Amino acid sequence: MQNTAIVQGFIVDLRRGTLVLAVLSCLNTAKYGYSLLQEMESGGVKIEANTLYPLLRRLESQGLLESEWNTSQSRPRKYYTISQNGKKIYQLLRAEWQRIVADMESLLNRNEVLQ
Amino acid sequence: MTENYQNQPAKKGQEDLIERYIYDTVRRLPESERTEVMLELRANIADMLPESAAMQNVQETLIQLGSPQSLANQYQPPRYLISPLLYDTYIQVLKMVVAIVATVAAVGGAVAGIPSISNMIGGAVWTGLQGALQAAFWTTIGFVIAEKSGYVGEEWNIAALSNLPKIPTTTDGNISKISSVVGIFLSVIFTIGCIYWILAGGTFLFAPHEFADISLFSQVALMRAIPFVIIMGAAGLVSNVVFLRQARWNVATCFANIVHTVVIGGIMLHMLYWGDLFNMNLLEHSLIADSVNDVRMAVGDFQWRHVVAVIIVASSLWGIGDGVWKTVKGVRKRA
Repeated sequence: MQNTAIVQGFIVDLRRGTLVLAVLSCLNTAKYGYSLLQEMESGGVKIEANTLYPLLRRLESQGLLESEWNTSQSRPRKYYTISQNGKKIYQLLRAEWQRIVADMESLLNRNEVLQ
Repeated sequence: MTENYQNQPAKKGQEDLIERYIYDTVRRLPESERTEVMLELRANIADMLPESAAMQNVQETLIQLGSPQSLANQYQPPRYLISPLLYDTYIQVLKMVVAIVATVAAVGGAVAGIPSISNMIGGAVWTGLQGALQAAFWTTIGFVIAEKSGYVGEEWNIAALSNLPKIPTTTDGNISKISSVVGIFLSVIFTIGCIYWILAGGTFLFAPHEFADISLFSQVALMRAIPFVIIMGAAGLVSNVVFLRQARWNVATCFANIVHTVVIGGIMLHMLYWGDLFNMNLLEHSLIADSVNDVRMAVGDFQWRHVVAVIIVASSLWGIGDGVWKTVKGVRKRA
């Protein structure tokens, strides 16, 4: 029981660091908050609504996302897309992520504690 | 998803709950962020609800979003000694504690200054100010300790949803009709009451027995004050009628507020420096005064009048600035 809580805490920490990369990867086409939430969940990336909505706003204020209100539907919705600068940052983050995965794989295989 | 959520007039209770949740969240954010976050949250919550949502679905969605405090913290990470989580409570407690302590200290300072009027006024202002500063300091220290020791606020559940604050009917830029009507009523009551009090001799209403039939102010000065009292009452009456008719901050109400404040402040400053403002006979009745001449000198000493004058000017400037700020904010919001 205690281990479950400890592991859960570590998993939350691991996932938290990947959220920005995951969000940026989904916004090549314009999406509104809830549709993005669903797309991420369908891709196996669990994110809470109360984390995603403020995160979108923060990324927009940092210039990584652009937004536009669509008022043509029955309910106005704010659509987000990745900006040019966001794309550059996404490329750097993605390269770093691949490096981290490769390094971790190498490290874990070299020092396999379960052997 | 509920495409038709907003088309259901019967969902008034649900909409009300959602709006109160959104209001409680955005009021913790910087003003520049509020409108945008409000619109976005409203759309997002509607998207999160199932089709033909029941009250239970609304409650579950709001619980899932977390408490307004925690959601606001996600939008605006805490960067202060006292985070938004505690800030509202802090301000409420601060106002209450400072008002109580300052009042008690001011009364204590005034009593300690008896019988000298200058000492009473000086003591009330000085000890009141000291009390207010001390109360503000220690309240702030208490909240900083609470913040740093991990206070996490109330539990967020369905019961807490019913405690969400009501959305105030007076929004930015609007002037409450009730406050205008009360203002008109008070202006009339103040004028009639003051004139009645002056004509009745201007004696203390609540005072130790030995002062019961003696006026603090000289009767000559009081009689001379009657036209000024009428002007002040008329200024209050006219400005509040303008507030009631306009019902929001605009150029007309801002101008009325400035005229009202300048008239009241100007008259109070003018009367403050009347040499015969106080009743010297009162001082001769004092049992504690060492000598009547000393007290006469104290009252004649104009130092304390400068202190009161500064307070009058500062509060007038505050009143004018507040009106101008609300007008600019209201006009900008309506634009």
